[in-house]
Amino acid sequence: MSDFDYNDNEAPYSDFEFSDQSFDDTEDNNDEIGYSSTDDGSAFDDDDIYGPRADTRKIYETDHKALTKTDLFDICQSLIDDAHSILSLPKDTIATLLQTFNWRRDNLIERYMEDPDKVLSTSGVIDKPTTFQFETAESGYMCYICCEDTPNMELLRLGCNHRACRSCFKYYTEQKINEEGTSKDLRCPNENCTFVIPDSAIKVLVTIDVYNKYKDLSLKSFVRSRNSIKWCPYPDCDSAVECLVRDYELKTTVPSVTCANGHSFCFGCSLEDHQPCLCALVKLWLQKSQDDSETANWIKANTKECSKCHAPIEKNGGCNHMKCKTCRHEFCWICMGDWIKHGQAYYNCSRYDDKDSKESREAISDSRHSLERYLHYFNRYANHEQSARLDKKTYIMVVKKSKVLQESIGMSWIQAQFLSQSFKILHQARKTLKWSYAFAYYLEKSHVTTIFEDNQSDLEFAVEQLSELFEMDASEIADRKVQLLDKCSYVGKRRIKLIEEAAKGLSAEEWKYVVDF
Amino acid sequence: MDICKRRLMKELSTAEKGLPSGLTLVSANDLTSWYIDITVDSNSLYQGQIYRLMFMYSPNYPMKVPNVQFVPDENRPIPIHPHIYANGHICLDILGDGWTPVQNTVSVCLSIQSMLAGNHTNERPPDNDSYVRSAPKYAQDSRFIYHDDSV
Repeated sequence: MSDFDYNDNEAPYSDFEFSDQSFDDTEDNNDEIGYSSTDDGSAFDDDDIYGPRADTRKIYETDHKALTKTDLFDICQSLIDDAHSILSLPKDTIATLLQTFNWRRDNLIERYMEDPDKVLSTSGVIDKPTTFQFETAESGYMCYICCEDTPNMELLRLGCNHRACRSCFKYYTEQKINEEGTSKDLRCPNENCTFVIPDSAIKVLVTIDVYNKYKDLSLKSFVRSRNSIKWCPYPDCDSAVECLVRDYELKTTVPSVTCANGHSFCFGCSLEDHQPCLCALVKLWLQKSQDDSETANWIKANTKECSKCHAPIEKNGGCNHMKCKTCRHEFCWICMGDWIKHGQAYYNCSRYDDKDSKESREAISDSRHSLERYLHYFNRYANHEQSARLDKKTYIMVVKKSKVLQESIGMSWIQAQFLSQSFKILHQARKTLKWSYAFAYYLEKSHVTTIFEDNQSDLEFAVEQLSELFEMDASEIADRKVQLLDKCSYVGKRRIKLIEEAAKGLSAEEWKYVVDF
Repeated sequence: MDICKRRLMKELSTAEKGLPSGLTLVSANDLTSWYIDITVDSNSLYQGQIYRLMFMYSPNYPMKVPNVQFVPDENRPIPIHPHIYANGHICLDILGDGWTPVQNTVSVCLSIQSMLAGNHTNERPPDNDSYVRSAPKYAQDSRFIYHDDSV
């Protein structure tokens, strides 16, 4: 049995302390282009745009700490060191024990104090100063794995006293790591032996590449065991973020975080940064838009609803005399009124303004209204999503432009940087706008939503103006640099305003939603 | 020398000297696949019947588990057993996650033999039909969940 059945009821964060409380406050300084991993995330000094950086945390920001791989190794190492100083077992053994205990140091120490033998045996370790050693085969020895019997070959003896030739151990561990992706439970190959091959033995057995992979795998299992640490979701990004946001807080906050490589994402759901929309609403929205949007668009464009049962009906030929397949109601396609009153007017309807026809149309307007409401928000959301994709193209153009500026106009590299910086602001604003529509869709109408939508349309207007400025010729851009920077500054401020107001509403629980989540 | 080759040569030379009772080496023409006939001696459901097992070894053998399954033939049916599917695939932990390089062809045969000898239920696995319909060619590519170790 490999599962460890100690019940771990500790609070998820109880055994973790921050060594450094000065969180990176870089939320606005780094952004990325789509989900591209090539972004260098270079420091983006926008003091001239936003003014000096505030020391205090803004309401829409969440405390977090970007962790590189080295930081993660250091955290693991310090957990090992701590437990080592208390339990006085070899560090190798401690590392294996911590893995078994999902890196809950305090839990391990407590259990070990209660019953050391049980902890050791269930974790597959043996309390010995040396957990492995190499030795030379005595004559007549044959390795039971490869059947090699060369005299004096090198053998590895594990702490459990089982041995085999060194090359078999090498192949065995490499196979486990490379093919099966195991870092935990790399056990002695002997049948029914639970002894875990220690880290230091693996280090001397396998090639450096395989060992690095092994370390990466164990780092992954460490991160998995922590609710407060998540990997950056960007492709090929190997940094992580630590954030103490709790699940229930996700109803009142959107934990946008930025990793050490400058990628921003949501800590709650590991999707892209979706300020100001809550994680739960993002999930609902994505489901809805994936399932419904195209269908809804088509229904809106091509169908009308039966005025009795609201079934959508497509008219694909024939006259105006309709008969609903669902409820058998007969009506006129033009005025939606009851057919009985139409007599023989098959191809002409003159009853559009009749009281009866008007009432029928009103009856169907409610459900159409909700569909139209959804499409209103969805189309704006989709528009910004698509524009954000096109932004990537624009970005490439922008880079070219800044080269032209440097070469033809003699603008310095630093000066030409304003283009890519401005572009990042545009991209970020689009993303915020996009999610603000998803958010607004789920809001119940009130005076606060009116203010929110005003902020939204202000930003939208400014974003489109800024976007237009990017279409200018390189020479024109140089002339109108001030205008571009002003617009950027404005867009940046409007974006902050929008997410700030939204975050205030979230933390004060002012927003009312049209859905339960 | 290649571990896989050396190990199989050794296993083959041992097998040629004689296998435990109930096992007959049918062919081991090349070193990548062997056929072994298996019978169950004791008073069991399978008395008097011969079954044929196929072993396929990858170049990573013995680090990697060999693919082992029953293969049908005119006189050699697939045994009926709650852990053996109608297509010959066997659900046995040592043929998946439980494999270690200490095991070998003969030890696998013995495990299967005892799995048959200890069974008194004349049934296919409950999910036989759905599994056989969608199963990959080799049992090794299936991920079994070993829910019952008593049979």
